[in-house]
Amino acid sequence: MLDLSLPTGLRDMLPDHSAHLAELTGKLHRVFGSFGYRRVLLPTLERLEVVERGLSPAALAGVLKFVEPGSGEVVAIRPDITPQIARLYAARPDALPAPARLCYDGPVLRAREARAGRPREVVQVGVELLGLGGSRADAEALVVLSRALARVGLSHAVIEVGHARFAPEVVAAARLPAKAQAEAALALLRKDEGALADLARHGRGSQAARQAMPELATLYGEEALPRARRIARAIPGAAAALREVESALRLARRRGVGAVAIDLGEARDLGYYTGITFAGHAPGAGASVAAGGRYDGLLARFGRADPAIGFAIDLEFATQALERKGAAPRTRRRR
Amino acid sequence: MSEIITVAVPKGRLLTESSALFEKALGVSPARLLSGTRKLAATDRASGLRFLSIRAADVASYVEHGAADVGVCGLDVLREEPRDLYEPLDLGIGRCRMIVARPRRARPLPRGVAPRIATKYTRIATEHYARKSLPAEVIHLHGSIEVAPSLGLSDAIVDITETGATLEANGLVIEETVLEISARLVVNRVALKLHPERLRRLVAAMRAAVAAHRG
Repeated sequence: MLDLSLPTGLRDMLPDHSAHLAELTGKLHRVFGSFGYRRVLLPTLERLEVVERGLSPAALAGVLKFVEPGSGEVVAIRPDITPQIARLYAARPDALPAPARLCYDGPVLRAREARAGRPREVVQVGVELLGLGGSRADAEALVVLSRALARVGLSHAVIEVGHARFAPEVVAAARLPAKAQAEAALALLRKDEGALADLARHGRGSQAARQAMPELATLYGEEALPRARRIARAIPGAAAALREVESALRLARRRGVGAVAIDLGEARDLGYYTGITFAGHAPGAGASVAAGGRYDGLLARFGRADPAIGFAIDLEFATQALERKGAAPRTRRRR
Repeated sequence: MSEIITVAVPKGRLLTESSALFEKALGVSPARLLSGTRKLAATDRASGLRFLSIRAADVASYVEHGAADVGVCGLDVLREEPRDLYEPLDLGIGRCRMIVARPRRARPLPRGVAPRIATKYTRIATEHYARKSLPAEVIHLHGSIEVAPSLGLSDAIVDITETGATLEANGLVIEETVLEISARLVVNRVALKLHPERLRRLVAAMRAAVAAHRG
């Protein structure tokens, strides 16, 4: 008998679902377009060399790679579109002078399911602002994200802001032995306050930094910024990171971005991020609907050393959140 | 109270022990709330908490997928099936050890021979031997792990023990500890972002209760 099943973790999208995704994609591109972002279409395959420049070794393990029969080159199915945009921007300074505002949409693929039952292939729609650093660009990304979420019916989503360097600067100032550093990274990811306190005892850094380490697990909720300021007082690197967050928030607020949540201890896979990071969370999705941040080191790895910031909205989780909210349009999605 | 926070608590012994902590921290005992009924869920209006009674092995799934915001889960389950969760607090209850044990009078294996290890915890056992760069053949069993060596299935076992009595009764001695285990408070990643202040306070209250309990 002919086996009509799909490889694990892949699925078809029937007309209703496809129409819904196309509608969301269209709405998002119209928002992006109103801010001057222009759409680019990129290939599904990239040389592994390009993909791996943007990924941590752990994330690289989740990439589907194979050898091209013709050339013997190792190519990968893109797990993320940002490194492709970085490659494009570095390769075409003639067509893309700085600052470049680009947006994209398309499927990305992982070698394994992120979590049992989750699709391996998801559609991402995102923007990248390349060749522009500083708080104004940071604020612009927050404004675009907040408008984009509102436009697709997720205005109730919580936008969370953090910084890729705040927690690492605190841990670095605590001067842990090498083995404890890896454990501290895990403890941060788990927000395990007790483990951070235990690890801090092995540090040879300043007392202030060692005391601050366990506090990284709770740098969210009310008074998160004042608590972070107290920590930053004794740690210059953390203070610089915090200043970037605060000035981006100030500018974004002036441009109409509402309340945001702060978490300066968030350590989700930060890959190439070097500055402020942000995410969108909505009830019903079980995972964040959007994620992004500043990545000032990535473009240099492709030979055009410019700052950049961007984010992607995960349409899989966005539609989940919309369905749970009962806001899915007439075209009902079926599984 | 705005939105209800859902807490998944395991059935069995951990329910009794964690209930004491919840009562001290938040003034509500899930064991009492869920007792005497066949209900699997019960809400306490005063604290704004809803408790779900779940099999211990399933708590992490409920929390990871957002059916519950918070849960109580053994470290053995969390490390055997890694989850994308926050683990903010060691509750200090349900303490036991993951150990390697082998028959008391077993002769050591010839050099270079990979031992056969029977276990319910395939991943923990595999990672333990990988970390030590020792070859091992890990055999997955669903129960009665401690009889595997005497029946000739394996050279040693990786299993959980509290007092060591079962091991001793089966002629096994503990060779090494793989992992110290206790129950953790786990929190869904999105829930923490959607209700940051309530969950921060909940974790802090539970932390204080654990500290008081330890005395």
